[in-house]
Amino acid sequence: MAISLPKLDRREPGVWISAGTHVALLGFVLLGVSAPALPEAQEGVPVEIVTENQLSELTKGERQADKPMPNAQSRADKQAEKIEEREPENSKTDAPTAPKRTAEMKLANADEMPLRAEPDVNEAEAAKAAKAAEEKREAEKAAKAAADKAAADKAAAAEKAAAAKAAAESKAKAEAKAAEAKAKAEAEAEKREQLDKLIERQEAEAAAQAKADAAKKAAEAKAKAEAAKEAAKKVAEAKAKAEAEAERQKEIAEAKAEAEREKAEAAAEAKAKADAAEKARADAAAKAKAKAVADAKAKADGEAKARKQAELAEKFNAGDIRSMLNSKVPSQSTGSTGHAVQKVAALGAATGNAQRLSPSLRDALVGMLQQQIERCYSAPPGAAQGVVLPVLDIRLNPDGSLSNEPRIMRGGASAVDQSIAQAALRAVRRCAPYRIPATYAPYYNDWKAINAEFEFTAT
Amino acid sequence: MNPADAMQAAAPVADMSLLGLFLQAHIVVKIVMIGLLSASVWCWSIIVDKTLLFRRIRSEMDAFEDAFWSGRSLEELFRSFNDRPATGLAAVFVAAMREWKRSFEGSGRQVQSLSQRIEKQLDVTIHREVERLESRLLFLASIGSAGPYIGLFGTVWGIMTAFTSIAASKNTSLAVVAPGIAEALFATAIGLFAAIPAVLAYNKLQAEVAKAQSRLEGFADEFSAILSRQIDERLSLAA
Repeated sequence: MAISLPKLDRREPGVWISAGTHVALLGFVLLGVSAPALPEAQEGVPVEIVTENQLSELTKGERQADKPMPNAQSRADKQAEKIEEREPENSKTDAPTAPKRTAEMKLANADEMPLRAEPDVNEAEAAKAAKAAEEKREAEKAAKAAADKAAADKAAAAEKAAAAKAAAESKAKAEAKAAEAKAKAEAEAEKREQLDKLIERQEAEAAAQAKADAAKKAAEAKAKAEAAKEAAKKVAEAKAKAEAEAERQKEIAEAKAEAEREKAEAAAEAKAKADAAEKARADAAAKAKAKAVADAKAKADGEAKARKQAELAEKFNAGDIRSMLNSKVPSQSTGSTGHAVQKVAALGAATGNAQRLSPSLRDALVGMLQQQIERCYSAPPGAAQGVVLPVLDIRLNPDGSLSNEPRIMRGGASAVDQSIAQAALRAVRRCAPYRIPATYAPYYNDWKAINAEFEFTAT
Repeated sequence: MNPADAMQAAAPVADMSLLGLFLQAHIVVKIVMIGLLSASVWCWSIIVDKTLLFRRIRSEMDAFEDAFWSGRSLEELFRSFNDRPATGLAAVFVAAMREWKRSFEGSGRQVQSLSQRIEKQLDVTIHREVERLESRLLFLASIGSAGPYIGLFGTVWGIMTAFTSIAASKNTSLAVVAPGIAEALFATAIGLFAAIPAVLAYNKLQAEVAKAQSRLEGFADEFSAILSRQIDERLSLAA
């Protein structure tokens, strides 16, 4: 063979010719033709693929951070007094939503000032209108009060006159009998007052109440006076009559007084109605006036606003907006709490939001744990294989140590199952720092609490 | 690992030169490439050697036939060819003549089955000569049929690793996929580079061997006819 004797054979030079040709060809290809400068790869439409994890970091991370850091952690301004460990299934729903524009951040808008001033103007207008209405109301009240006073005065005058008449009559007749009659009249008046109250309740007109009262008083006074007069007359006509007669007389007097009073009330009602109508008319007029005034004011305000806007638009300056925004940088401290104080903003914390383990990864992790736990597991005597597999709740730290005491989630009812579950629990504690591959680090939120069914073979 | 670092690591600088493709390849793909390249070298060395050999054989046959049919006596020819290592037709002639001489130079004349012995001798010599001619041609046939498959194996392996790297970088952009597939296809290219000349040369050389064999057999038939006539003449003279 030519390879076994590599000296140049004149009759069989094929090896050398072939090897030389190949070397020359390869050299030419590698040195001469090689390094074809590829054009810069450019996509037709620049598309950036953002993974779910990156998106969660974007929305979760801090905008002020300079650069992503290894071992990035969420920011914590102070140490939490109480650490809340969320269940992995709730971590997503409980996680705060992405930060939005803060409430105190103001918009750089030329429209802003007039827009904010507008409700004030309206309020002032409303206040003014209310004040005017109130003044009007007060004036009306005053007028009413004056009218009431006048009525009351009149009534008082009538009373006085009646009283004077009665006095004169009583003086002219027997004074003692008059006193008796007076007493009787007073009793009657009390009874009448009770009746009056009932009637008052029936009368719903609040505006006319005061007037009705006054009219009633007047009527009362008149009735009293008349009753007194009649009683005095009767007493004077039949001096020797018995008290029964007096009572009859009293009844008659009552009836008469009632009739009279009704008349007086009707008159008062008519008067009140007339008053109410007048008042309504006056109110409508006042309202119309106030409306007209308010309209005129609104028009004037709108014009003023438009003028102001035009002025601001002329003065529009981007620098002003920027300076305003710069002066409104939100405070760095968010009051967030964590396991430990972490002052540096953490851009790109991989565990910012929960990344979910895939079913296969989860299965592999449970298998790994089971393998590690099994080394520490010794089956309880006489309990080779239980009926119910124990379900354990294992809480882990990122470094694989237990963050909490393991618990039995489901142990089974029989004594054998219970003892197996307890043995498994002891094994979990004994093997405590677990080796968890670094590939699982981003998913810590998902595996910090593991509820899984463990099956150990007795060793 | 920080995602930003991962992103940077995932975007490889694609070296698309042939050397770069070779150096980036997986070790299995490298072995396949080196094997195919050395097979190509060996194939071409066989092709060159065989081509030269056939050319030489053809000229020697022509020269010998010229000498044989020139009218010189067989003894003379034998003496002139016996000294040096003979090939081709000369080897056949020398082998037959040696058997002839041995039969007459011995103590007694063994002429009875001489023609059978000479025929056997001719057959063996022709067989030996043809074997010498088509030695190593089988290697060409093997490379011609198996080379593409070996290259394909390297390609499949390279594409497998390319897809693994895609899975690792979690990025499906063409820049990640392309270098792996290119280096994988490079293996198939080398396989075809070795196999195509091997197949062509094998067919060509096989035809040359068949031609030389038929020429040897034709000469052997003619020569055995001449010798058997001589034997018959000697037997009739002796009787």
